[in-house]
Amino acid sequence: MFKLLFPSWRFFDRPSTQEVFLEFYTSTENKSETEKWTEIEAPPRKFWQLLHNPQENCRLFLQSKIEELLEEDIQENSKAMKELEKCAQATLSLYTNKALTVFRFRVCAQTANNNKDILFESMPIEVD
Amino acid sequence: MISLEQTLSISIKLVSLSCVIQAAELFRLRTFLVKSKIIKISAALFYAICASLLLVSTLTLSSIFLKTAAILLVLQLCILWALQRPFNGGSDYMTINALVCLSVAQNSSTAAPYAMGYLAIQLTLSYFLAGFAKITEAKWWSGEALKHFINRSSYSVPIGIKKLSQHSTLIQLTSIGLLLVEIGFPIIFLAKITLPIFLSTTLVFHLLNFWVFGLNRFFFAWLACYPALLWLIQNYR
Repeated sequence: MFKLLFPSWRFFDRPSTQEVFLEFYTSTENKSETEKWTEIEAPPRKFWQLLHNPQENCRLFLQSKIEELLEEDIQENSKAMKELEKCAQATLSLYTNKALTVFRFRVCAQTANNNKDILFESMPIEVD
Repeated sequence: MISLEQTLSISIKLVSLSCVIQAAELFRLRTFLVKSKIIKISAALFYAICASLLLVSTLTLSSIFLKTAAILLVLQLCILWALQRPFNGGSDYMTINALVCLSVAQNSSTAAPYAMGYLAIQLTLSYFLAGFAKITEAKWWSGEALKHFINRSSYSVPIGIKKLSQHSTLIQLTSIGLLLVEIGFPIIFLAKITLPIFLSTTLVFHLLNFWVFGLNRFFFAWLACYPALLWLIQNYR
């Protein structure tokens, strides 16, 4: 509540050393292992989204939740791991129309020198 | 000259517009949020909160009821409680701040000038502190930080903007311009003539934030606080 009434207003103050993003493995096509891991691409922005932008705002909400969960030791904390899986599945279903029965995801980090580190890779997850 | 009554009337309509947009987005996402177990309360209760926010803010926007700031505040807090965190960071903070100030102002004529003054100060601080946090970062002066946020952050930035950000002079000038506007914003209290310049620049800045980073809610949440700033500057200089 205190943070709500007295926000710090420190927007975009400094670039983080690593940017976290998710990659998903949903493909059953005949592609190489590297090609099967893809990032979710948001559709091109339209001006009317100034008035109504639920998907993008929800993706940012899930992204901040994921970043917060990653501050915990997810390998050791089964509750945090479950939450992370839930957020990953939600992020995937925000922009995917095809019916999935199983998927995998991995948490990647792009470092300052543009290298990609894989922080975590999930086992196959069955879609509820 | 804008009176306190006019300020309150315009502010509540603008903050209602912001609430309509926020409620409509959550209403659209309601099934998704429930199905993906993102919210911790029952689906029926979440639907009821979203629908109530949409209804009350629409009625306020259409001038049917105007003394609704306290109701809107409670509904916004219910949404934060359901989601266990802000849905959209800064825009949620600014909306809550505006609703707290308007709730006080609508219910106490003695406290109203202080509440609206506080809102105007928070608005000024939102720009000034954002700029102040950046000025010590050399990467903001070189444009590198802005380029980083455009190209490597989690925001889905249009390809055309990413291409534009490769022009080093353009990105550096934009970055310095942004720093100067943010850090220089309090000048409006010293030189009234700068007020329209700063307010129109910051409006364009919020539109660009929407186009570049998709942050649509910030535009309306900040716009709702402008009447309070106009009133404070016109009446207390």
